[in-house]
Formats: sequence, structure tokens, C-alpha cells
Amino acid sequence: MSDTQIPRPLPGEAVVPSAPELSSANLGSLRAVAARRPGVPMAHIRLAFALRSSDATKPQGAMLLSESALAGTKKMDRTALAAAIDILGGSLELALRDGWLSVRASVLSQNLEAMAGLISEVLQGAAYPAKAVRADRARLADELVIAKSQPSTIAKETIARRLHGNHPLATGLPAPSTLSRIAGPTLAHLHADLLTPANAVAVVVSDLSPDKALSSLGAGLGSWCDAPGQPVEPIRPLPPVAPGALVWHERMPAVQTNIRFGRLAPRRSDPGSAAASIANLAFGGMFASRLVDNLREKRGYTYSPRSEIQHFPSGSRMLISLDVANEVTAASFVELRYELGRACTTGFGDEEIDFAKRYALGTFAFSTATQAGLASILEALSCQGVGMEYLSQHPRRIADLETAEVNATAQDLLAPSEFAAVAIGDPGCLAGLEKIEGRIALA
Amino acid sequence: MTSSAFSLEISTTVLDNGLRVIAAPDHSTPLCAVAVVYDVGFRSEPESRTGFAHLFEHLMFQGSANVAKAEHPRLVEGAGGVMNGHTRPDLTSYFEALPSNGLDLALWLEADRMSSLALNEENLANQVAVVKEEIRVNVMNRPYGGFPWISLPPVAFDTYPNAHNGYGDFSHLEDATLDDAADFYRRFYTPSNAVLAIGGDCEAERAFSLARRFFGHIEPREAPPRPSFSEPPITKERRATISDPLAPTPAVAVAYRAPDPVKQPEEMLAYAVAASILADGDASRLRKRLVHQDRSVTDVSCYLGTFGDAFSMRDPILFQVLLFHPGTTSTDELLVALDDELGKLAASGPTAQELARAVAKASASYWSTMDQVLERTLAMADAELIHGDPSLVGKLPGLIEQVTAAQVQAAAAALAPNTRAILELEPARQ
Repeated sequence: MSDTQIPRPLPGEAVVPSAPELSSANLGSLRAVAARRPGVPMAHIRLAFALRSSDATKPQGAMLLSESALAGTKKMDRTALAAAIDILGGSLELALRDGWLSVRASVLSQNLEAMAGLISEVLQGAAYPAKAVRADRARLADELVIAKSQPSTIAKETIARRLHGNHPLATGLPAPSTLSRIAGPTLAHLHADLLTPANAVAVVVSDLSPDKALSSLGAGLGSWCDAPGQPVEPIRPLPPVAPGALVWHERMPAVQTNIRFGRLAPRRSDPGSAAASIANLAFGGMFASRLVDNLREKRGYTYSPRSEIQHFPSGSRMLISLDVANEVTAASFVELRYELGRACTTGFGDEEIDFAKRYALGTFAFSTATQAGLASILEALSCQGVGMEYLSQHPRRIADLETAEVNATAQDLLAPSEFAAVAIGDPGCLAGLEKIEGRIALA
Repeated sequence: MTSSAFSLEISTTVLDNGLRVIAAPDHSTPLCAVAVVYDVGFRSEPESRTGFAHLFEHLMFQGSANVAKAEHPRLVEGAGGVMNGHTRPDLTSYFEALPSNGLDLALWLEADRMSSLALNEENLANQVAVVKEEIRVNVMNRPYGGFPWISLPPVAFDTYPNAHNGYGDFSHLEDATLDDAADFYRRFYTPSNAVLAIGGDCEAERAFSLARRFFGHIEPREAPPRPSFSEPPITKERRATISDPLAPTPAVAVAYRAPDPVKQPEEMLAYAVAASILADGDASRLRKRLVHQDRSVTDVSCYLGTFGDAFSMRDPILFQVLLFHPGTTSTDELLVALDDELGKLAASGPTAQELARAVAKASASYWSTMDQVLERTLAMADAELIHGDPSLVGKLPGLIEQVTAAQVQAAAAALAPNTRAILELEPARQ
């Protein structure tokens, strides 16, 4: 061991990340935004299409469409399309998100226009061949069976149902049997309704100048940008959450209980959003937080407890997640409610808030530093109806927050009585848990 | 290639105590990353202490001479950064990614725990409990948990270092003592057994001067001898079955031995190209055949190394084919189809188009790593530790481009039934 004592260096002032160079344009009926991240010669394209309530409550249609849209066009079969994407150093996928349908592509930036051309080929020419759709349907059904067996999926769906009732955001993965009636023509109709330029926002992040990227995107997408179509009726806002008795969802066998607490949270555009994000971080959104300190580092009840604020087109929510050993299920509820109550009544100290602010600024800088990260943020902001000025305003709002402001927000945001809770696991845990939680409703 | 393309400029030095230091500056953002990688992984842990290398990784966050428990994450996050660690078969990494004005702090924290780790019974017991919860989350409480990284090696390998469970048995974790930890630390956590990499917004000269300032005083200790973990390839097909009460549908993992990544990197890359041609994307041979034509499997993937990290491993490593399927086709029939496709690739080789696609995909994947300061810093540190050449990271796209059709053909021919281990996962009875 060395005796040398080198004093601990102090980090410099928190750096407020600067916004990237941005440009936006209308390409025909398509709204598009481009950002430049110099460095690696890649381009990331996102096309986000809004969903109607019915698309979200019956997600099997949009899910199958996401698989079969790449099954072939009038000109190219599935293999030829995949090969054409590969040779560009590209990737292309469609994915159903919470509230929108996302087309995501990446490509060597010299091939941006060619990649946009292939996206246009899919958007204008997806043929939904009957045989391929039948095969995709069977495969998707198998994938759904596997996904639905994961405890994390079960927990996500259980808390969403508890929080949002019959709102589309409460819809989980569809039952595999719901796929059986969907055939090619249904998908072609859905495609025609949703995948139109007027119903989309496009994002491209690359090492190219934003104007050059937009013109390559427009040239590649070509006549699709002028295709007919209307924006769809957006999904209604999230209704208020009714807190109340804990809901228990049985899962056997289980060696852990999956605990989820949730409530609505301020939207990104709300004035209280920045303060809420810092209160969340100090509570359980970073490693050095109350939740992790107590339930993991002090008691060893859980591996990765966390809290987060999630934003959707229809609203925002705060979610607390922890998976704990069966025997400490009741004790974990005691500690979790204690930490919420403590943060709500006595707030956080100056250093906790200062560190959470610096963490928020630093991680925001990291998440916007990569092309893919920036593309995902721009896509999410677009879908949530938040202007791009958020990229420069949000860090400044964080930097300007005072402890008192965050603690005032914490009084409401972290109030234990405002949360709805679910737990998933072995009902053998119930006897002990009832002593703590009182009445428990069984799902 | 555009003129703005990022280029990896790597400088290296070695401190008097044996610590190898790498710097790769890039000033495009005011961000940086620090990686400290030790030459010890779960292949090196004692037989009565499965899971110890990973448990020890957790203990490295529990405090050191000048850092209290919980202080390391608090200081890094409080400087706007993130930190973590991971344990692999041949190495254990610790890393921070943070705004570059926190670089000194990150280096000071890493140096303090390299110099003088501080442990007590309470922290040990706490982290044993945390690791058990980690294993419950990732293995015991979920379908396909630990498949195949925990369940395949005992079928494919015969010797303890390669075959055992790197997460560890609960009884071994519970038996771990402070003496075990002190021993392990003394043996493996020496400056001469480690690599420090600093990437991002810091000049190489400054990086080296900071390395000397914070790490230079750490007492030199001899690096432990590193045994070879090589074992002869198997010569007769092996087969085992595990039952997963949580899994709804079956799965099969097929493992073949791949070339030594250190001694035969070019040959190993031919296997990587074969993996890409076989199972990466809808134009790949196995996806086309099994997923879209036969419709016998839900998903197929091919990858090299325990976690797809062949260049961060030494010999022996596996070429793995992973099949998830609905159970409508028997394992034997799936293997016939697999062998049929491997046979065709071995007989006729890849097309020029297939090779070109594999090169384009490797290039895109390289750039995606280069776009992330933490990812590229970790990759350089691993390349120095395992290969003695951090610039190997930047050479990969070029090396992939040099892989010939004949090499891919030879790789496919080597993936023969008598050299493989097969693990079937049986689901719960419905």
C-alpha cells in the first residue's frame, strides 16, 4: 500500500451541452428535421407515423405490418430487399412503439439517398404477399409467446393496466390468437391509412450538413413525399390515475417478486418537467440515489432498483421498478414507501440536487453526442409534439433549478399516496405483505 | 468516405510499475471515457469459488483507502458521468464516461482502488446478497435465463476454467471470505496486470501525465503467471438437454470450436464472416432457409465468443449457432438443415456479393462503435490486454475486407458434426 496522498480532484463547472446544428423542411407533405453530428460517416433515418387509438388498442395489425412490410415489394422479394440494404452498410426495421410506428434505418452516409430510395420502395410498394404474411403471422405468434413469458413484460403490462385502465397505453402485447384473422389485404389497408407523408415526421442525423442530408432524404424518398393521405386522429391524453389497493398478479414458479409503482408525471412541455426530472433522479433515477442506497447498497434486497419518467405522445408517467427476493417482498414495500415518504416530506439536500443536476446535464450531453442517440431523441420529441428548441432549453432549465423548487415538486411527485402499485410473483408472499399493505386485490 | 471521418489516433506508454496506458484523443465533444481492464476473468477463479471474479468486481465499488462505500458512484454521477464494470471469461473492466472536466476525478478514483481497496464483512455480505439478486433476475426467474452462456460451456468443454458457471453457485458465493478477496486482489489487481485507456477530449500527452500522477506511485507487483486455458477440440459430437420450467418453447444451441483469436486472428475473422453470411439479416443463408423457407425456427443467430466478444477472449472460443423454435420440427431435422447449409457454403464458398455485404456490414458496425467514446475506449483497452495491440480495433474493417472466399469455405468445412456440442433446451410441459 502506498502512503502517497493525492488530494481528490474536483470536477470543473457543470457543462451545459450545446444544441446541434439543425435544419427543418417540408419535403412535399412530409415534415422533416435534420441534425449534423460530425465524426463517423454514418446517417440515421427515422420516420415516425402517428397511430389512432384503434391501432394501439388492437396492436396486432401494426405489429404484423412491421414484420411483413419488408416481405417484398412489387419489384423486390424479401431477400433482394435485404441484400440491397446490406450492401449499403445499412439496416432497416419497422417497430411498433408506445403511440407510434417507427421506421428506423442507418446507413453509411455516402449511401443516404440510396437508403431513402429503399425506404420509399417499401412505403410505396410493400406487396404483403399472402404466403409471406401467413409465415410472418405464425412466427410473430411464436415470438409473442416467448415475449409474454418474460417477467419484465408481465410486470410492464400489469402496471400499465393498473395505471391507465382502458386507455390505449394500457394495451399490452396482443394474444397470439388475435393474429389469425389478419391477412395481406388488411395490412395493405392499414399501410395506406397510416404510412403516408402527412401522417409522418422524418428525422435524419448524419455527418452531412443538415441541408445536404434533407435534400438526399427528399431525393431518395422521391414521389412518396407527395403521396396522398391525412394525419390520423391522435390518441387521447392519459386519464388521471386512481391510487388504491395494491394489485397482486400471480406468477408461478417465481423466486422473485416484481414490484412496480406508477403515477402520472409532468409532460416535457410542462413548466414543472425539469424539476420533476431532477426529483426523480435523486430519488431513484441514478445509482447514487435514495432508492439504490437503501434497497440495494444497504439491504441487498434487489439488484437494479430504479425510477424513471417516461414520456409518450399521450402523456407522461413516473415508474418505480424493483425485483426482489420472495422473502424480502414485504420488507421492500416498507422501505420503498419509507423512502417515498421521506423524500416527499423532508425533501433532498443541496448536494443531492446539485449532483442530480450535473448527472442530468452530463447524461443528456452523452445521449445527444452520438448520431443514433440524437436521432432517437429527435424522433421522441417530434412524436410528443415538443419543439426542437427543447435541446437547448432543457439543459438551461436544469442548470437554473434551485433546491427549493425541486423539493416543492417532490412533495407532490413522490407522495406515496399518489402511486398505484402492482406486484407479480409467488402468492406465498401475500400473507406477509397483507400485514404491511392491508387489502390486496388479486389480478 | 467523407473528409470529416473520425480517425482513431492511438498513443501508448508503460509506467514504471508496469501499467500499460493508451490514449486516443478526440475533441469533437467535451466528453471522455476511462477504462481500466484487469487481466483476470472467470476462467481464473478458484474451483471452490465459482462466481468469485464477478463478485469481486462488485467489491471494487465498495470503497478504497480514500473513498467511502457508495462514494465512487456518487462522485462520478455528481461529475455528470456514468460508471460500471463487467466480468468476462478473460478480463474484468471498470469504466467511467463523463464530461472531460471530470477526467482527473475518474482517474483518481480508479487509482485509489487499484492502490488500496478497503473491504469489510458488512460490505461483502451486502454484495453477496446483491449478486444473488442479479442471478435471480437474469437466470433463475426468467425463461431462457443463462441460455446458452452458462449452460453450453459444460457440454462444449472438459476443463474447469472453460466449463464452469461464471455467475457462480450460491453456496460458493456465500462461502466467500475477506481473505479470499484480499488474496484475489493481491494476485490479480496489480498495475502490471492491467491496462488503462483514456479516450475522448484529452490530449495524449496530458493523458499520460495524468496517468503518471495518479497511478505512478502504485507499488509494482509482479503480474501473476497466466496459464493457458486451451484444451483439445472435441472429436465426437456431444449432446445434452436441459429443462427450463419457465420457457414456453424449445431452443437449441450448437457450438463448434473457432480458431485462437490471438494466434490466428485472420482465420478467426473468416469464421466471423461466415457467421454474417449465415445468419445476419434476411438475406443470410440460415435465416432465408430456416426462418422464411422451412419456417421451422422463430429466430437464428450465429456469433463468436461467449458474449459475441471474440476479440476480448483468448483461446478457446466457440462459434455458436442459436435456434429458437416452436417445437414443430425435431432437433435432428433442424441439424440436418443446418448441416445442409454449412455443406453448401463449404462446397461452393460464398458469392462475391455475400462477401461484399459482410464487409459493408462490418464497416457500419465499426463506425457505430467509433461513434461512442466509451465503446471505443473499452475496445482499445481489450485489444491491448488480449492482443498487445490497441490499434487492432481500427484495423478490423480492413482485415475483414481481406477475408477470402476460400477462407470462408474452409471455415464452413471445419464446422463439422463430429466437432460440435449440442445443447437442447426443453420447455415446461404446457
